[in-house]
Amino acid sequence: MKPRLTKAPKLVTFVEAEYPESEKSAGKTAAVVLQIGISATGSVSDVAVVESAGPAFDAAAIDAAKRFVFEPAELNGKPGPIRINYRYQFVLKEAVPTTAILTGVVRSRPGGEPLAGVTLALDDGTQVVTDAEGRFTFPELAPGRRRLLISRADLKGLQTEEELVAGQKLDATYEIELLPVADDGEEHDDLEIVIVMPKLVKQTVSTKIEADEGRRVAGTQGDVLKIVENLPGVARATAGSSAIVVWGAAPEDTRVYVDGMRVPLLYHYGGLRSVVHTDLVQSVELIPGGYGAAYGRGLGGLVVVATRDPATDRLHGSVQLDVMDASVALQGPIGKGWSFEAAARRSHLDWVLDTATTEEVDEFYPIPQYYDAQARVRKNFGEKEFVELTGLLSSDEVARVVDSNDPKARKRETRKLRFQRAGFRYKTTTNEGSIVEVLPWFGANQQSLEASFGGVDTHLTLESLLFGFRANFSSKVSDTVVANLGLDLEAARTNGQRTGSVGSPPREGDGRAFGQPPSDQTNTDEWRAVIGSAAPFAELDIGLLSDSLHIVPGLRFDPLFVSIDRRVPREGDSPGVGAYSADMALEPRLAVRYALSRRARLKAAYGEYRQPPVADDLSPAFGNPLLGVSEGRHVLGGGDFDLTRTFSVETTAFYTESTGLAARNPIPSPLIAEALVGIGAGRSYGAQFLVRRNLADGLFGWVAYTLLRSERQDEPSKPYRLFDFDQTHVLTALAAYQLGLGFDVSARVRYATGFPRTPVTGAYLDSRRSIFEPVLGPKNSERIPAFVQLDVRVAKRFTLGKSELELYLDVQNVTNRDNPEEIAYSPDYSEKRYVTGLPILPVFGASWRF
Amino acid sequence: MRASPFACALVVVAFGTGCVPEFDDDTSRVAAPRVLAIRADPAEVRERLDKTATFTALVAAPDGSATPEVFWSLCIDRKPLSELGPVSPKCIASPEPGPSIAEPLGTGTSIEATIPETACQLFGPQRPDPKPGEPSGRPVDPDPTGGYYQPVMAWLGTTAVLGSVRLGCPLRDIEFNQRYRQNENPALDALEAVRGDGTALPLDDGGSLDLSPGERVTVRTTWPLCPAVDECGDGICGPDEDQTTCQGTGDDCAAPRGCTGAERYVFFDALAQSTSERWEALTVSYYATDGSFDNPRTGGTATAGAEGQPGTNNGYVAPSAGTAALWVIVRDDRGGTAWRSFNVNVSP
Repeated sequence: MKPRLTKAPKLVTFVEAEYPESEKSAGKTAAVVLQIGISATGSVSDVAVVESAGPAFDAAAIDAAKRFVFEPAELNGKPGPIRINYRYQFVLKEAVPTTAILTGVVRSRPGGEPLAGVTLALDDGTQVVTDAEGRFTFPELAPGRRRLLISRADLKGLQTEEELVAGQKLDATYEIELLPVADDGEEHDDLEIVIVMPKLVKQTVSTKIEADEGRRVAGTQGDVLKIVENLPGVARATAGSSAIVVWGAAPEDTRVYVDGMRVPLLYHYGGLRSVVHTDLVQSVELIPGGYGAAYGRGLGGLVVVATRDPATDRLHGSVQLDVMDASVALQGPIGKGWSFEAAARRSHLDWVLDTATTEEVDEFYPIPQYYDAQARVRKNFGEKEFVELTGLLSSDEVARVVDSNDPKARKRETRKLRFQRAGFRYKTTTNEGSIVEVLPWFGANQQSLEASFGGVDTHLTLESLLFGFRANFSSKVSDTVVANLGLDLEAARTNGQRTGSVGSPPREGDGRAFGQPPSDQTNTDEWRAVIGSAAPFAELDIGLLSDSLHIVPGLRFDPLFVSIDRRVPREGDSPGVGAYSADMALEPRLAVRYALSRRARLKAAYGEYRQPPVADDLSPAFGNPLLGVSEGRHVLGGGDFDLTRTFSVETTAFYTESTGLAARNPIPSPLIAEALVGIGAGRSYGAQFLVRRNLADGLFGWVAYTLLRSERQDEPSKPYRLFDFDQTHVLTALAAYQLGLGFDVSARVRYATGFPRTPVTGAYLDSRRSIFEPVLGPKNSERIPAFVQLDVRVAKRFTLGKSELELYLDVQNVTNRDNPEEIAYSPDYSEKRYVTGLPILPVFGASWRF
Repeated sequence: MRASPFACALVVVAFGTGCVPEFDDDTSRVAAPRVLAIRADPAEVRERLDKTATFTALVAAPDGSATPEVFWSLCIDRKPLSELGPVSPKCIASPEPGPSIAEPLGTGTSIEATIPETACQLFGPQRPDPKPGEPSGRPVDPDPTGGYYQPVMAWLGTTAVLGSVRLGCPLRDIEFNQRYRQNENPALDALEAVRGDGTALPLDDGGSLDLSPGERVTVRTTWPLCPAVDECGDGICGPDEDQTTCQGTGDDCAAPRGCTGAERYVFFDALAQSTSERWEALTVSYYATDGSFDNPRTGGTATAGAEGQPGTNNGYVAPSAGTAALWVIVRDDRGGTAWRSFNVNVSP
């Protein structure tokens, strides 16, 4: 009897055949008819092709069918073997991608050379290494925002984030800086000196100099911040001056910030030491003009000093000693998440001279005395969040006494400047990369001048209390846009007291001769001024054209208010009537940077700026309580080019103008309380060039040249004349070389046009005072001869266990040139000679670091 | 005294300060005709009371040299604040800069000038007349003695010397106006040359002195001692006297006269906004056609009613031969001036 099929077999496990690649790529579909033998257990016993679709499809179908699993057929109610025909259909389907691909290349910066052996690691631990051509590929990655760390032993680590989309391939190029490696494998600080012209949020036009490089430059005596004076755009200061003059702006127009707190000066009196210890400095940015919306209230440039994060690995420190001063610095961890840094310095030249000579040297030369100290305590909450408390203090004093039997030749002058600052900072970086920073700070300044010359006493005291608050929020709002929003608030209350003549101390532009006694027409005044502003600002960094073009528009709303306790000079017991003024305006800023290629970049910037009057000028007797706000505009453009892997060139052309500057009232009968009026104007224009060799093979250096003209107009009816600090040409060339065995040598050559001065064309006797008075020619119509100087430095480093001792010899003015610094006259102005600067003399020093 | 080169270099290299050159101060040498000083009589003109002042120039010249006439002009141009010198540059630019700048006064060693009625507005504490709709102008700042001055120029050829007369302008302070007394020109009580052996030789005005070649003498200048306390009948009208305090016992203020030494006077302290007292400081300047003085000027310290004869000394070294003319000029710090001249004959 023939068996009867009582239950058909049922496919319970289907196996998808692998679509033959050749057929798939050809876009072919097919159907293969198979005869499948099914055993009584449901497994496939054999497979044969009944209708072929070609060898590829046949083989794929057979391979899959052999792995089918069936419920067995039932014959007469019992499982039994059976054969069936099965049509296997091959159909092309649209695949849904589930992974992304990240590929690209890693190159060096500058130079653009591909870097092999670089490790790229994702946040899930996946990592690849670049090949000989610097290329890498992550073939299958989960989509989403992924964090990527790029590292190699000799590279500055780079962490970035990429947005990966399933089914898409992201081709990225990363440029990383190589870390210099010394022959002796010493550690290098990651201190940077960044010169930004202008500052853009993500890509800054900058010149970076490593800390180690900065200390090795001749003429700096190991003070890294002194390097600023060797950069383009910075005029050479008068010998002994601590002023910074950039792009022809008055020193008081350039604002100095240390960790967001404004300070009155960067260098101590004498100009050879900065007010912050070198070992604590992380970076300094010199922005000569065209700065962004985050800063304001200054018509000149910006100097922004950032101190470094305290060390967290172990205790580090240094001790330094030379003929001028001694200093000590210390930093390290103080518990879980806590760290500190502290430094102090004090000058001792006055003691050295007292010991080394038997003369009253201060009778002839003012001897600055200074000290400074800095301290910081930080608490880290993880890697991205911290709070810290910072304190700064600085003191400067210089005095000179000239005694004489001639009462008209007796001179006495004492200048003092002290400041103190305390700030609290909170900073956090979110997982998305946004940065929030809040910095309230407090401070005080005490400044005084006591002088007597020619029988005329001068007294000036300014005591200020300051408060500042800065809040910043920076975030990426889209793939191509980064936003920076913030609030910049600052207020100062100043008590002023002054006695003396209107011309003492003198102002920029005053027609006078060096050594001329002040006028004996004197006045006296006391006043109080409050000057403040609270400026919200916003800035966007818009990246276009595959990130080659960046446009950074900014806007700052800066309401400036000035309050003075008296509108007119005191008269008897009459109560003072105060005055208040407010000035509000929008200050637009714009910066553009375009990368022509990997080696060439163009830049341009425009900005409008305003500056409130200084408290000194608000005296009703000596100034004007109602002085208005000065305004300025900056325009600049230029580019930087990487000529080779080690040589680069930067150039910038600039034009700045300012109006509403405080100037002496020119009319013979000025109104009460209008000794100064805001009728002055100024302009500066020129270009600067920097050719630089980056550190390679132990050699680095640069040539910086500035061509500049800076002018002032004292009143609208008068023509422009040269600014007191104008220097047509400023050239600095320096180089430093590591000889090996711990020896370094460096040399610096400087050339600078002399400052303009007003010539003396005659003189007359003032019979009442029995002194001669000069008759002056056209203002600033002659110049002091040019300044030329060669400095050389030699240093030797000794490794002492885990510490290092450096001995250095810094020889300034190697050629012993008599550089004129000022024009001096005989008492009757019949003879003229030059005040000369320093002769050749070495300065020997030592520093020990651990 | 000069600092050693080592000390100079240390300071200069450490702090970059400059080395100031030294000049030989030969302002005491009279090598050509010069105006050495200008005296005003009275030393101070009171507003509305003293209409004129007589200015006298001390003209010094080496023997035998022709001395041009002195030309005088009275400056009536107020100097702007931007001018840091003592007088308007327009007044000092030329002898006759124009009638709106300076009034020509004529020529001669001595000249009388009418003081402008607006002097206290032009050069004093009274505010200039305001323009319609504007507040008053700024008054001139006083000198450290609280004084204001009418400038006058004495021209010797094209070389000018600036002189002045003090202006007695009233202030808004009642006490000041009541107690302030007109300045008096100083007078030399004695002028002596003290030789190395201590011998003091008096030097009269126009007199002569015989010295050896290169001989060093001390020139001693003294002036009258002024009273620290006002007394009736001493002939000096002091700050604490007036016509009511000394009636019948010697009214010193009927024809007010000051002391010809270092006077005690009142001034208005602008910082304290009150009237205070102070003493004059006298300075002596020295000039010679030959020989040399140790210092071009001496003195200058306020004399606070000192005991003994106030004065000052200076060293003089005679030339090697010939005759030298010498001048000694005494000035108080309120503009008063006096002088005396004498000759030195050098013989072996």
